[in-house]
Amino acid sequence: MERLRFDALLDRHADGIATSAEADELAALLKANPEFRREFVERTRLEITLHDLLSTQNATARPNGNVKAGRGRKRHASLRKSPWLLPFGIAASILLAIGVYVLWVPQGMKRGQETLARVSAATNAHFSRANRIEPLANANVLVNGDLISTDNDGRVEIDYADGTRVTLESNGRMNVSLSNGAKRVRLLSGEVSASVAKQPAGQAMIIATATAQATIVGTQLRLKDRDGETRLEVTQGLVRLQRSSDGRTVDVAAGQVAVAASGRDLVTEALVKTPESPALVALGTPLLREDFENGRMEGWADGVIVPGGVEGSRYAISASSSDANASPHVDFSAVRLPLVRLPGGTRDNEWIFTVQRGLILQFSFFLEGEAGSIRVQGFDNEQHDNFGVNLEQPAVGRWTTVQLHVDAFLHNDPQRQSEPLKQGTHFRSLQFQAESPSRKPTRFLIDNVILAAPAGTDVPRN
Amino acid sequence: MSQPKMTRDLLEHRQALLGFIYAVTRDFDVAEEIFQETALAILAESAAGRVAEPFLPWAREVARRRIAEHHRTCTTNRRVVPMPVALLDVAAQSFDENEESRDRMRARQSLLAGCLGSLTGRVRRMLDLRYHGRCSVPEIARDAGWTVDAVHVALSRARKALAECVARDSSLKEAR
Repeated sequence: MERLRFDALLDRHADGIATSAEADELAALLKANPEFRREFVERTRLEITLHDLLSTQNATARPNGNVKAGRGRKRHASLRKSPWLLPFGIAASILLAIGVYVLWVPQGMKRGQETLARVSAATNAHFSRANRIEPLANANVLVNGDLISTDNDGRVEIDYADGTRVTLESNGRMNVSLSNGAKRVRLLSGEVSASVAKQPAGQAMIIATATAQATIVGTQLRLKDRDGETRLEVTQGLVRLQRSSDGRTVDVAAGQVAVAASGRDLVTEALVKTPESPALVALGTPLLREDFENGRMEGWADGVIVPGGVEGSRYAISASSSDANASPHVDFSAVRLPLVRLPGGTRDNEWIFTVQRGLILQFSFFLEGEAGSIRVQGFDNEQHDNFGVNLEQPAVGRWTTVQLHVDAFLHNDPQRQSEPLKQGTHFRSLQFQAESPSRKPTRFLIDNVILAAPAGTDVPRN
Repeated sequence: MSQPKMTRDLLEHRQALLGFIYAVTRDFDVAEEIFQETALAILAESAAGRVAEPFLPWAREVARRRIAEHHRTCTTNRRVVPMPVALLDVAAQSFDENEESRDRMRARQSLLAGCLGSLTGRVRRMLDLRYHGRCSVPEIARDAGWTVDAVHVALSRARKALAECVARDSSLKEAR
């Protein structure tokens, strides 16, 4: 009897139709019976998994009429067709047209219309309201539906009453609105950054692009819409990014970045804040430069291109390892580099660069885990062995840029370290390897690899 | 605990935390929102050096307080009926007693995907509306032209069938 009652209450609770008294009764049954508690948890897990699975499976085949309403709640097409749908639709359209006319009066902001935000700084920016486009100035008031745009050298900062600040960078367009008390920003093009104050329950702020939307309770982030992809960088808090094309979501936490684009995995990667060290030597014309911004693995034998990288960068290379227990590493191979490719060349007469006095190898890395050192080495074609250096106790959890003097690279074999690296020899690979004392997998990203002599030094090109 | 490790823990236990929040709120939108608030609170605690181990029970307690706070706010605004505190407490106890491994979570997901494939027609559609469309039972009833009770019974049977289908596979039991 108790079992039947428990099942009935659990079902009513699952469907959200249990009364307060029934919820109390369910709580009492749960408290008295550990088996019921186990089933309660199992049932919930089944529902959450069901929710995740159906959201994924249905993402590409949403029925017509799936519109957003309220707090991002999804709606599906009706199971049955209403005979009143068409006349109701026509009536609704007429009412909507009247509503639009009333709201978009020619004078611009209507008397009594609610202030949405204020402009705190504006340079070469405009706003469009009621079919009129006007220059935007400091202290201008923005209202629901305003469209803001910036010129090539423009920029706008808008402040909401709760302290939330949204910044639209140059060459950008965004629409600002309020829906049921919740802030909405639609980024039509360009880049916005936002520092979002804690939002009231049920009124999370949404910043959307054509390809994705970010739901924000309170955080700091930057969202870019470029070349059909949306890049979200989170510097504080946690943001859920949903890709529009298939409904897939990813939680992006502080210090992470995610890119929503078709044909690319929706995953998070480390974000980067550390600027390059001011102590770095200014470099001259690079003999070799790899910033991975084309998103391709050209010339790299191992690793995988991932979103993220040093500040302002879209991609970096993430070291990979076939053995989960081994240190991840990336190989930089000459074989696929057109810069040094020789006609009919073999491994022995292809190389990335020639060792010359004064060469500096500069690169940025991001390390996560317990790596004790980073090994940077290259294979010398003439001496048929690896030469390199170790970076001991590298910084963890932030991007760091380092410079290494190539002609100070030492032979890999400790017994032969007195043999210097000869000038004029050729390196046919360059390998970055993170070594972990605990042999646990370590995430190791590399970006902006530059090989050059100090500025003002004349180094002949290969 | 370092911020990256905290972030990893948080994302790794997302489903467990979300499940607990959903068990009490029964609303995916609200559950997502409370999860985000919980995550913010946890990251703030982490930044201030106040973190307890093991992570999950501690994070669940943070979530429990957020749920209570959320309901207090909503009740004050008269947006929802008050939630019995007893249910919140016993839900926390239930999840504390029945933690599950990631292997088991993955096994269930894979099995459930297979079981879902065997459902067709209106039952599958109702599950879609309930768990993907996030429609309430009365909303589904209105759309289907059924009574609320009939939809409730259909959903109940569908969930039971899926639970039995998943439980039939021994791999889930082994993955405990």
